[in-house]
Amino acid sequence: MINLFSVIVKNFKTLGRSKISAAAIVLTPLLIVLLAGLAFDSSSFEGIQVGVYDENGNNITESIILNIEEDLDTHEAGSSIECKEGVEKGDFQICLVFPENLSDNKLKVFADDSRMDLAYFLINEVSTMVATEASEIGEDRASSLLNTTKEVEGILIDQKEEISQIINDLEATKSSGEDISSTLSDLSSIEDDLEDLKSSIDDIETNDSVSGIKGDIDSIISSLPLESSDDADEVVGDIQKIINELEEIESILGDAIKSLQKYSGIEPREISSPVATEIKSLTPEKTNWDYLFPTFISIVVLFGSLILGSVIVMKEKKSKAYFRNFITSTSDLTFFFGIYLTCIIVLFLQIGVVFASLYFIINMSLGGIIGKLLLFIFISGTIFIFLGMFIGYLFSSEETTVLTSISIAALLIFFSNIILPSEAISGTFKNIANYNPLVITNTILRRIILFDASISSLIYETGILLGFVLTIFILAFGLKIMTKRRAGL
Amino acid sequence: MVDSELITFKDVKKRFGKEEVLSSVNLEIPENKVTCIVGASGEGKTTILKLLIGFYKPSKGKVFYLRDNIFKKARKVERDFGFASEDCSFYDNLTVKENLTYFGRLHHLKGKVIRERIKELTKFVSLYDALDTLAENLSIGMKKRLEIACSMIHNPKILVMDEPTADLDPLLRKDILDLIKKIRNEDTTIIMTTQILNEVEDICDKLAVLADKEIKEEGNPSSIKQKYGKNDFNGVFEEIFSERLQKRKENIDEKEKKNSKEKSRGMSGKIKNASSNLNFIGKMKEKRKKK
Repeated sequence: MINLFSVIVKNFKTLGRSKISAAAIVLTPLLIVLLAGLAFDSSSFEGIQVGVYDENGNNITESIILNIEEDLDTHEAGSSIECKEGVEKGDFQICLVFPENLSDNKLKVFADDSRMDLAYFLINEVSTMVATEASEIGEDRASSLLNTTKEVEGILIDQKEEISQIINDLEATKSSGEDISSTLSDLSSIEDDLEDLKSSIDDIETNDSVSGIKGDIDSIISSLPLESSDDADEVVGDIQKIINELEEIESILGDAIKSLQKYSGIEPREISSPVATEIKSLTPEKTNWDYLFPTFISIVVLFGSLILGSVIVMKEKKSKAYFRNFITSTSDLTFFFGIYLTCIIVLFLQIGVVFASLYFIINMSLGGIIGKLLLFIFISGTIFIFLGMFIGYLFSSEETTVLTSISIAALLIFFSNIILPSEAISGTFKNIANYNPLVITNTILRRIILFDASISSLIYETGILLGFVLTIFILAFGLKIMTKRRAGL
Repeated sequence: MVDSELITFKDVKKRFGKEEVLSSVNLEIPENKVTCIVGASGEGKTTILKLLIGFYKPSKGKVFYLRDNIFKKARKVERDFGFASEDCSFYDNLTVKENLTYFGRLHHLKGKVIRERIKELTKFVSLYDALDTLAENLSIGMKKRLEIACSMIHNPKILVMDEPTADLDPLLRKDILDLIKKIRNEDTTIIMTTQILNEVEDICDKLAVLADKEIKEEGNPSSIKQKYGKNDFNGVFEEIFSERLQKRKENIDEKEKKNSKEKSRGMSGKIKNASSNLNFIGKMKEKRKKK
């Protein structure tokens, strides 16, 4: 134990007395935090140039462009080709081409797919802006449509009422006609009575005066409008037909009014955007830095541990005193853990500097999650330190060691979701990337920092990381023993 | 005191890959004496020392320490042996005291013991006044003394030194030789390598001459001189290495001949080129005249 402590103290003394390395250890993370923290401490993207080509400006496109201009710098392109070339040259990050007739043609968006993350972000941002504006325009249109519907409904109701009135009038006329017809029927019975009277008179036929009466009765019968009775029935029948037709029209109007009345309680927004979507962020009120922070910490842990591990091993191997260490009675494991503990202490110093700088520079407090964060930084740091030590024991020149460390760090970053989404990686590589310790570290830190995940919910990931710790320890220590044998024993 | 063999090399062969460095070394090293291994540069002297402390494993044969195979006594070897290398194997950016404390700790010495040992040792090697000086700021002679101090921190019974006087001026060399004599007087067995023949007579009790991958001569320095009928070791070495010196001379002569031939070829080529150029210019002039 005392030996282990001596090895660590010696490592710190040798590191500390090299002023440049000591400054690099303390100041590098501080500088990175200062720059990155200040640079990314906002919730929007700045300096994004949006090209716009509006083939035939109208109110709709102009209002969309105005909406975009509120958040992003827009530049007018001369043509669709210029728009596309502007993106290729990097003059614009994205370019929108509004076709001549927006309702017939689709809005074209040129974006540089090679900058996948920015392209997706911009397409999403601009699409949202266009959709918002389009939705407002749709709402205006729906509103005017609803107003017209209301007007039509009013007219139809008036018409229906008028028809009802006509029907009522016709019903009255019909009733009068029926009265006339009934009166005419009565005349017929009078005629019959008169005929009966006449036959009675015929029976009598006693005097001339009676004959005179008979003649009078005949003239009365002939003057009776007995034929009008059929006409009156016909008229009444026609009126009934008209009433039936009008009632049919009234019923149709009633249905139409009912259909139109369905829209009476509807808001214009319900027609323009029948399904309202509200994107609820899981991490409300977060800045870009909050999202970047887990990745930033993962990269500090990766580079800090990997390079420190490999450089300290190489420095020790290249030291003239390395040989003397071999011929003492201190075990190899003590030297191995001496280097590991030196690296982990330096890493925690760096992380301490980072956290302190975050607190003082951008007032970022890690409060209750700091314990969990440090635990996983410790586990991940151990993996990368052992990996760095493995590289250190593997090679014999400092240049190769540093280059290999940087290459492996770059490889781990490339097969992670830091540069490109890991979902963009295909097939087997995706499966490999899912077990990339950097990806696992990044995932764990993100879940802790953004969602305050509990340790119990991270058991699976922790298990994988501990598996890495054990495997890489065996490899690195095995290699140390092998290189010792190669050197001498 | 009766000489007893402390360390024995028995038919030791050492290869590095395909290259054979030692073919068959047989050597006996007595206790409490100074044994010097002498040989030309690259002859395998350092390899012998590293085989001695168990740092290298022989490809064939065995090294015995107190009649036991040295590899079966690893802990004892680490405790009993001290090794002062030619390259000064300590940390340049630690002070004298820090270096000695660190190596003392690695030998499992207690703090108090280390402090006492540092005081005693730095006085012994005349570094007491430079205890807090960074090793990188020490003079070359002081570095050599610190190297010896580092190898003696755990009070070893056997001190192995690889060319302790290499790269030193005569005054510094004398200093170190005096120090070695002092150590010998402390009843410590010393095994050292050297290329400087004057040292041999001065401090060696036993001499082993390494040539052609094996020990050519072994014994008391004066007896070896007598054997070869020479007054000094320059003569002895000329005799032992005569064959090699002859070969080396022949090689040099051959190279010189080759070089002079190439030079003359180069000169004649240049002359030929120059004359052809002159001919061409002459012809051109004649053509112009005719025109």
